[in-house]
Amino acid sequence: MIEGLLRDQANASLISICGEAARRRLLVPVLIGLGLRGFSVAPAAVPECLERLHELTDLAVFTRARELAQSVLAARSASEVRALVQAFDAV
Amino acid sequence: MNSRTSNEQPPAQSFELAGMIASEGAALGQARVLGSVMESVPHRSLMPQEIGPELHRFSDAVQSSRSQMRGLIDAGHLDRELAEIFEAQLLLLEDPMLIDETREKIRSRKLNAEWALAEETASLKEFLLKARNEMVRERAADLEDMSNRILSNLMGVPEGDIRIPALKNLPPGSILIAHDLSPSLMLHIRENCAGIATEAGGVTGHMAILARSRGIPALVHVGGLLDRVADGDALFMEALPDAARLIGRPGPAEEQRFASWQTTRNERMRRLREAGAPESPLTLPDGSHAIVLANLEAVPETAPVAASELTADADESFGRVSGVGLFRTEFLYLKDPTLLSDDARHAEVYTRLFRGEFAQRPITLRLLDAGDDKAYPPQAAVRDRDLRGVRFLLANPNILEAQLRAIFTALQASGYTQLRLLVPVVSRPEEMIGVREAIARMRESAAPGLPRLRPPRCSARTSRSAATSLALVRMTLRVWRLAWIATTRCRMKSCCTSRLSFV
Repeated sequence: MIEGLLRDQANASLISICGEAARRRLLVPVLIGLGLRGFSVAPAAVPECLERLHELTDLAVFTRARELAQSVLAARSASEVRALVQAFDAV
Repeated sequence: MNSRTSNEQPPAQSFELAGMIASEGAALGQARVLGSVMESVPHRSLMPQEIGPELHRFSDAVQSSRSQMRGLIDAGHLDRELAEIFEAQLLLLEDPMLIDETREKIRSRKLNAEWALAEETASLKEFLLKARNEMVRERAADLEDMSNRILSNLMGVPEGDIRIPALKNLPPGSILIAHDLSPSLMLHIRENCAGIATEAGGVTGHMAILARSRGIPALVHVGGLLDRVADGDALFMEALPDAARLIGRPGPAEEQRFASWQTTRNERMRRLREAGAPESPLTLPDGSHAIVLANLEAVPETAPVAASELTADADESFGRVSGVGLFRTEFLYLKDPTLLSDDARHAEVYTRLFRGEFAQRPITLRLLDAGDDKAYPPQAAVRDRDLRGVRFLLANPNILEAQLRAIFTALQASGYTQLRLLVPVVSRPEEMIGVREAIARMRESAAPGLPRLRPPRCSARTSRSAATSLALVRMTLRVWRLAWIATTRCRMKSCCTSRLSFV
């Protein structure tokens, strides 16, 4: 359902994410894995966001991000998600 | 500025205060404590021959305040509620309590007008706040507002808040320390501000948005801040994922941490400037494109004056994004409330935006988003909680029309074609109809040759009714869960706000 919605709004709608740069850095792969393609961030956070997305242009990383999104959706608790997201970053 | 005398030596031991990250980064510098308005009022005794002129000066300031407020009310751009508040404040100027008592203090106690007024305001405020009746207690805020206006006239600070000059003239490497910073104060902060720490404030507040947007590291909720930090103290501020704290009297260890943060940061900037650095859009392995857009609150300067390292970063970033994802227009009016009553200058602001850095790329303008925690209108928070976003605009058609007129005039003048409008916090279809009618009227009168608006994309979605709303709610919940986990606020608002694009 979520994927469907994101496909639906793929071109026109952009979800803008405000937040702390570092934490957002952790969130980018999850959102990409969920199918989100638009990121609107504060100018100061642009370099980091671009760099992060650049990493995701690598097929292996991209595939892992998709898997990450699936496991995050299946997660049952906040700490579980936090662990998953951090584990992704640690590799 | 000098809320605390720092003649004595700073405390011998270093201290460490924890806070919450509002904007990431690190800073090494000196504390500049921004006191309350009261603490920033000059205090001196008058010579007998100065009393006459001082009384005169006070009357002049009262007179100017009176005509400024009259002017604001008569211009007719205030919504009714705000106009009524101003009328009530004008009555305070006739009230013998405030004005006559202040004059008496100047005369009998030989006090300068600023201090006499501040003292009188403080004692009257205390008196009002003791009242049982809530209506009477609420007058305290009006009294303070009025008194601040007279103070700013006395001190020749046209912007309103008498602390603004201090903010504009921060020495380099200042770490700004305050109880809280209103968005209108934030707008006056320049390059020399290396960091910000406040005792109050939240990570999603407007101070945080502005700090992030300018790349100024900021901590909020720093307990004991004003008790521990004195003006001029050497400070090290860390607002990094593994540490959110303020350290007094930093030693070599802190200096080294700062240096290593700087190195990492500079390295990142260097990579960014290299040819082949990532640029939006990026093609992902599945063939889709990921785009990065910038959020703005002000029109980017074309030739930054004495660009600091921070603004240089931002300029560098602008070249690599696909456009402006969200331009929060309320900040324009917060910075210069007179824009709404000056069509020519108003249109000029948007023309500069449409002709500037982003002339060839899409820009999404969010119409003035007022109410709730929003920064606009500055004088009085919108008291009716429901009167937010689009409902505020529809209730104040003169504001909505002034903004649309300026936007269309600018479109006409610049020939810019990639504008999208975001209508804030829409909850009912008729609200969109109201906005579109206003758009049609303003386009007709300000830019008759312009192509028509494309209907909002979301109209297709709303017709899908319940199933979609449910899906949206679920998705919102999911993402909010993520967001909560990461203490990041993921703005799902775009899902429930409507966009209009030009053909």
